[in-house]
Amino acid sequence: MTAVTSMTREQKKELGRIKRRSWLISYAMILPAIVFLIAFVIYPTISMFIMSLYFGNAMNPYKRFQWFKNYSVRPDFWVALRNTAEYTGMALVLVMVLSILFAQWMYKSRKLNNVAQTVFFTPHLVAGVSAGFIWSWLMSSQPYGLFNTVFNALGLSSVRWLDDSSTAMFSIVLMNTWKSVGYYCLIIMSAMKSIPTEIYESARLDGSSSIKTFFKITIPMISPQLFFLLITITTGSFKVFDSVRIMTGGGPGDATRVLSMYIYDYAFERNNTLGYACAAGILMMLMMVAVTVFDFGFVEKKVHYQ
Amino acid sequence: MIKAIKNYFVQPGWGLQLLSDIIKILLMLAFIFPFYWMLVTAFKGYTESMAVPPTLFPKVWTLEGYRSTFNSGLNILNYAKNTVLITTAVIALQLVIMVPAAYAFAKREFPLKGLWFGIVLVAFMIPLQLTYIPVYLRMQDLNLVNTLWPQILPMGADAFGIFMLRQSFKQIPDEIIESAKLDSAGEIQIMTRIMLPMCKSAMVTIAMFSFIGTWNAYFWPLVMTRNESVRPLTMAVEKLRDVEMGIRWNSLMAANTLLVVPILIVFIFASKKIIEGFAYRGMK
Amino acid sequence: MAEIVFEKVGKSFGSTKVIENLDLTIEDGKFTVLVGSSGCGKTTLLRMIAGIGPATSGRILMDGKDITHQPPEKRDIAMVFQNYAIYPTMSVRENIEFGLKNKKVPKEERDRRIAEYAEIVGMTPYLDRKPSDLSGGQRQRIALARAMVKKPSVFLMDEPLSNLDAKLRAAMRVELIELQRRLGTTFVYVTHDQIEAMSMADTIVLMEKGQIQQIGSPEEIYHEPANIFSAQFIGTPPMNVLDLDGGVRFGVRPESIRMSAERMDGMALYRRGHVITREMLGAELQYKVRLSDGKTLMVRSENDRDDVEESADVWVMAPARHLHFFDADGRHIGHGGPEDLLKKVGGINE
Repeated sequence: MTAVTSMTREQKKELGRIKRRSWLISYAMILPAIVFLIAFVIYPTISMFIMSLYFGNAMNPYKRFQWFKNYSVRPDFWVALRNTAEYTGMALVLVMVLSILFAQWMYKSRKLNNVAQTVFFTPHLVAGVSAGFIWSWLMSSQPYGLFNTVFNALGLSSVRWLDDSSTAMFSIVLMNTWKSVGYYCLIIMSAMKSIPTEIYESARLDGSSSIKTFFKITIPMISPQLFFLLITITTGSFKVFDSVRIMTGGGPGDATRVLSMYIYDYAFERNNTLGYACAAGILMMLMMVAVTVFDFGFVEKKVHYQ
Repeated sequence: MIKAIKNYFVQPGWGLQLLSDIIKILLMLAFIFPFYWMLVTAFKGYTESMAVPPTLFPKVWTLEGYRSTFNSGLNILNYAKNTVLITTAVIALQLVIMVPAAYAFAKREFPLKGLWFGIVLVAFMIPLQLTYIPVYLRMQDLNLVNTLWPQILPMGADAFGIFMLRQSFKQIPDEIIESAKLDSAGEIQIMTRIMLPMCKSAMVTIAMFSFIGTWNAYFWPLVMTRNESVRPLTMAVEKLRDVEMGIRWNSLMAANTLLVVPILIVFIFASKKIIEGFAYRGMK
Repeated sequence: MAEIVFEKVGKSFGSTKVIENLDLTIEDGKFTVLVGSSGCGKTTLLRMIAGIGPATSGRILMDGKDITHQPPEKRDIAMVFQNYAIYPTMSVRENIEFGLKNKKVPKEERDRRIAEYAEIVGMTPYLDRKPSDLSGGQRQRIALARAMVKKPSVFLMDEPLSNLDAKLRAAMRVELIELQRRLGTTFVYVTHDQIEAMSMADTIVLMEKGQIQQIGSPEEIYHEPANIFSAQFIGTPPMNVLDLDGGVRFGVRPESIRMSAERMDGMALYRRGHVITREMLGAELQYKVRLSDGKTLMVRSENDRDDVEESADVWVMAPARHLHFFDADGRHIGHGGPEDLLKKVGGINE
């Protein structure tokens, strides 16, 4: 057997050159993306944090170092936070329950279900502002508002929907539920479809009622997706802006002024509160992280991975 | 067809199934109804749109709403033009930036690859809410606030798109690339003539996500612009409401159809793909 | 007593009739195997007994009681699925316990039974583990324990061994046979593997295209196949079937054929053949032989009984008692005779 020949100096050099050339090309390929991401995402976040430590405005964000004042939030911050929590709570319950129920109802593969899937998904695709406008129109408290007209026809009294501070938040949640149920239902459905029918047959033979099977078998088996829904709906609810601004603008009064609107107000609508807005933004981010960490820490234990 | 109907009623328990199916259909109609209502209102005259009780079907079909929109003093055409330009630019920019990056992350080895991909991951988790203030200030410094650029450039790299494309590239067997190299193909050739055609599906999905996201964007244009001339259609519709002295719902809905209908058309043609794309997002 | 009777049973999916007018009696206390190729209807029949794929016509009786429309949970049966259908989010213990809990069996009784049957299948140390940590063979035992713990009158098994590797499969075959002897319960077992059927069954029900081809013990089916299908389904390699004139055909099993350079006396079949391939399979030699009329035969020789070389020209022979005759419809006429057909086979003068 001939021995393996070792490379000559020249050959090694050539190999190195080829490798380096390959690396250069790879870097060229990722460079634009990395540059954009750093320039428009990473760096601004750091920038935002730094600005939150100062007092200033759009012209000069760094007038005075003021981190303590910025981070000791004003009373209306708590209002915004409470509103956001209210929204999140309602959305979470409504969307999760409805998605699961719809999914259970529609996951078996049939022509009707396939069409239904598509139909329920459609609202997800339109702009938040468009959906907001359409539902504002439907929910109008004026006599020509369709919802109230239908309610009255059924013998129920009119609801003041977006004009009443006790129902405004729920109305917005309702619209966003309509908009997002289709998407979340889709995710749950694909999880349900992956459960082998034999498991259900076996459960039947084991004398399990439909309800028992649902809670003891179906739900645990889709728990990873349910967890995903929990995280996504929560973080999405923190960020809600478009629909609120269109449907109520934060009102009536402060009933629907959510965090994202609060931050926007302080950032651009008022004087010299840029730093404060940034601080509020950072706080919002921290809260989202905290909730996510909490979910991973405590809730994830209950998720059955396979 | 008739056989299918006969088979339906032959199944045991068809009574309950029929009830369930009827409710399902009613629910589907209810879900679509807001769109119907939007369309129908758009074609009503002002007085009819305010009618009490409202009419489910226009007694008189008219384009009054549209005329009102275009004559409202807002340059609707310009807003629409902006939306179209921005959307096209973002899709193009994203494809140019993201495709090579995804390919490199998927198939090539280079130093610090993990670090750079880590940056993509981190960027993925940061929401727009955390970046808009500094980005706006930067745009202000660069004097770009009165152009369309602030709405295009920051959207150039979308972390999720990179993930998805990378996944799609990874599924291409290495042997194909090696065999192309043996055929003396250059890097660019490999990418354009082999990888791209095989990932058409993923790229179309990314393009559609971009389209939907950019077309519907409101928050970002809101915070990035001060000048009406560079604002997109989503903001125009809002302004329409503020400009009108009594709210002309028919006109407002007419404007909305301009926003909604293109999306619905795209959806009708590509519903399966879009749904698959969104489902994939859930699997991350 | 848990005898199962199918009376004029039929099953249609939509407009496709899979099974039509089928009668079958499955004896109590016996290991009955439903065997056939894919789509023959064996699993359909099994699911009818379970109630998860109800018959569209006819009656099913268990112990004389009409169970045709009885829901599965009320039937006194247990089933082991091909893919085990273990509940992945429950522990082994919870899996086994599930059926008992639903039937409101009291806790001490439950724990007692779980301990007993976990021991029988050898899964006692794994009771608190999750199924995802366990191998295929172990999961299969959990499925078995889960079925047994319900103490049913009938065990149904749908190809339970097909997902195991060959060695494990062979070991499990023996275990299942022992289990059935020990419990004395009626076992109805579905498989497409004729070796499994032959080795495990007291009674084999051979099916094809929704119809029963033959019912009988493994010996009966091997020695007295009812038709060409049965004759060729059982046995590897399958029985060689050759034409005789008048539409009649005759068959001879590879293991019954003798080969040698010299003619042997006392045979009923004589042909000249050329050895094409010779496979050394350990204790057996397997040959492919081409006869002078172009037909090929498979021959099996155990323990070096007839060891010939490739490309050799040999006499291919078989005794009368190993020749089976089939009429034009494929039905079995007899073996070892009748005389006139035997004479036709001949070939003495080749």
